[in-house]
Amino acid sequence: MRVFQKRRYLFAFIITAAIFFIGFFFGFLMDIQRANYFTDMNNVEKLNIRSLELQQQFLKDNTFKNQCSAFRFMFDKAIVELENNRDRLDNYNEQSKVKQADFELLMREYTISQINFLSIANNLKISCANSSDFVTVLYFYSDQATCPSCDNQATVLDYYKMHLKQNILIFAINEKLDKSEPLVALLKNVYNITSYPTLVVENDVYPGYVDKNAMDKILCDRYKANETRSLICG
Amino acid sequence: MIGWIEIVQDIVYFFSLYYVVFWVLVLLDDEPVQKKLKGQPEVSILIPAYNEEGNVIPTLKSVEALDYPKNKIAVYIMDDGSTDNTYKEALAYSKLMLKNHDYKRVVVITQKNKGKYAAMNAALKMVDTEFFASLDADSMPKKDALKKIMECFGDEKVAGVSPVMKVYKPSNTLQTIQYFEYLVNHFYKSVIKKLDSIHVLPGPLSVYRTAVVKKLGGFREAHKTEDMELAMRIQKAQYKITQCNDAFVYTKAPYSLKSLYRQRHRWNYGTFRNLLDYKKMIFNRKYGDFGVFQLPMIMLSGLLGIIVLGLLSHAFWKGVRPFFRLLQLYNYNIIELIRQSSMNIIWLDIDLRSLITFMIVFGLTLMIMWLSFRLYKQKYGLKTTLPFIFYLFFYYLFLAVVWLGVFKDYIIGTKVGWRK
Repeated sequence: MRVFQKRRYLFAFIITAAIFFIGFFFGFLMDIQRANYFTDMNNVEKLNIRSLELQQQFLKDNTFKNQCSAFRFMFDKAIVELENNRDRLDNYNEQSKVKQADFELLMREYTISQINFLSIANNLKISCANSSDFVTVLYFYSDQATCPSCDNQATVLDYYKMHLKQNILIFAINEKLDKSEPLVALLKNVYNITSYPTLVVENDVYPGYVDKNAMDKILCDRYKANETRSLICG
Repeated sequence: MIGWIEIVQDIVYFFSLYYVVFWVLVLLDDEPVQKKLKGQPEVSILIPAYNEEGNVIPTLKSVEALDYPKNKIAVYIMDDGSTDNTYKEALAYSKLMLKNHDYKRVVVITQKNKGKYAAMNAALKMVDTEFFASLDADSMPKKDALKKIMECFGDEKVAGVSPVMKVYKPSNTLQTIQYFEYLVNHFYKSVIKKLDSIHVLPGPLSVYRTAVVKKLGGFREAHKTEDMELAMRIQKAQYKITQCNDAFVYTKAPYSLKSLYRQRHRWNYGTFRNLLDYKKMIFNRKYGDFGVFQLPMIMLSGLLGIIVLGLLSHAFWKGVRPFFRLLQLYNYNIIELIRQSSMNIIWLDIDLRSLITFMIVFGLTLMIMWLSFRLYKQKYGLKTTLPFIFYLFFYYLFLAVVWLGVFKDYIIGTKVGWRK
């Protein structure tokens, strides 16, 4: 019968568990840092929205009519930031292990901000019709289990965002938020969204995966400027 | 959200970390005092050879060069039904050896091809010395190797002593990668010997106590890994196996990936099957750390390797797939894709937990490499940087692929031969 030190096994277990929990602790710290970052960013977004809404009020006045391009510049900048942060928030939410409730709350707030931006964009088309050659796309997505082709749809939309830049405004809405955010439920109801992915392009609903060819056809006639049309209409 | 992939990841990480922490604790233990054997007893050197034309003479020359009294060495060359000139070469050179030196005996045996174990047993019947060594016909011990190994038999309970293997003149990247592998294995064995947990006595110049091996019934076919099986039997019979840290033997490593895969498949398949044959020893406290820790870990390492391979492939696919999809949408115009892309990364995007995990594993790996170099009495050469990087990042994935093949062959029942 050989001897073996039980103590060594136990000690190794304690050290391993300690290192392991340090890892968890760092994950927890990371979650807190990320949640704090988004809380700050959310305040910035809210301020951006208030500022844009106010500017839009001014644009209705003839004195400010020629300020449309300046407004558009600010609007585009703010919306790029918003989309980047929403995407980031989605990823962090996926990675989060401990602060999930906080992230879900932040997701709600970002969704509200997006819908605010959508509303500003729609008004912009009226108040600054000449400098508003853009198409708005509402993209309803879900998790991998409910929507296996959402990843592909997101890539197609990424392509258009990269290709058309400020000429396309994409608002991605996580349909799972409908339970916590009534606005999402309302939009789903208005557009009769029952399957995922679903795109709403300027109020026209396209359920199911829309590939590049189909998307080209959907978008092509919606642009006024030949320059933009040439990018997608071939 | 914690999905099943994260759970598997955490389990693998925990086990791997526990394994490393355990060995670090063993490493910190004092080196056990090894009782040295006095005098130079008679030794038989058994050289099994199958189609080793061109290799057998350099091996015999290295035996001739051993710093050990020739009259205390008996040499047995067993040609296992070679289809080339191995037998003729061995016979001719054995005559020279007898002519030039006063060897106790130099015998060349030939038999129908029955496998290494049968060749070893055939010679073992003739062995009348207290110790015998097995020496693969593609290996060459250093001058002082035998002398140093014999010193390790001071303890009566020691039934087998393993040398330290080095790759003979690594000439391509793959052989240099194996050089690093042997180096780390040497370190690993030097640690596990503290727990009497060595599970294999490799072919190149492992020395055995003849009476013990004969008592245990000699060599067995053992799924073409007779050296491992005999080591298991020695452990089971409560004898000791140790490694002589400064007895070096050079061995020729596979030159191509295909031959390396075949060799490792045979080794791992044999290891797996032998572990199944000796499953009663696993988690058995009667066999101390060997049963409780070493054997389960060997069993688990293959499985963990496959899981890690799966997780890495999944992560790689997940990361690369959107990029390829996007590239496809750009009609594979990568320049246009890069031109239109914008980098938007902040420090919070870094997955700190994964980064720390990676840094811990990488740090421990580098520490092990450094200790291995020190023990191997070798200096790191800048010329070997590329193979070193391959060894660190890809070699264990290759071994996981080998394990995948092993499990596949076990499940579908493929027979594994020497050339498989």
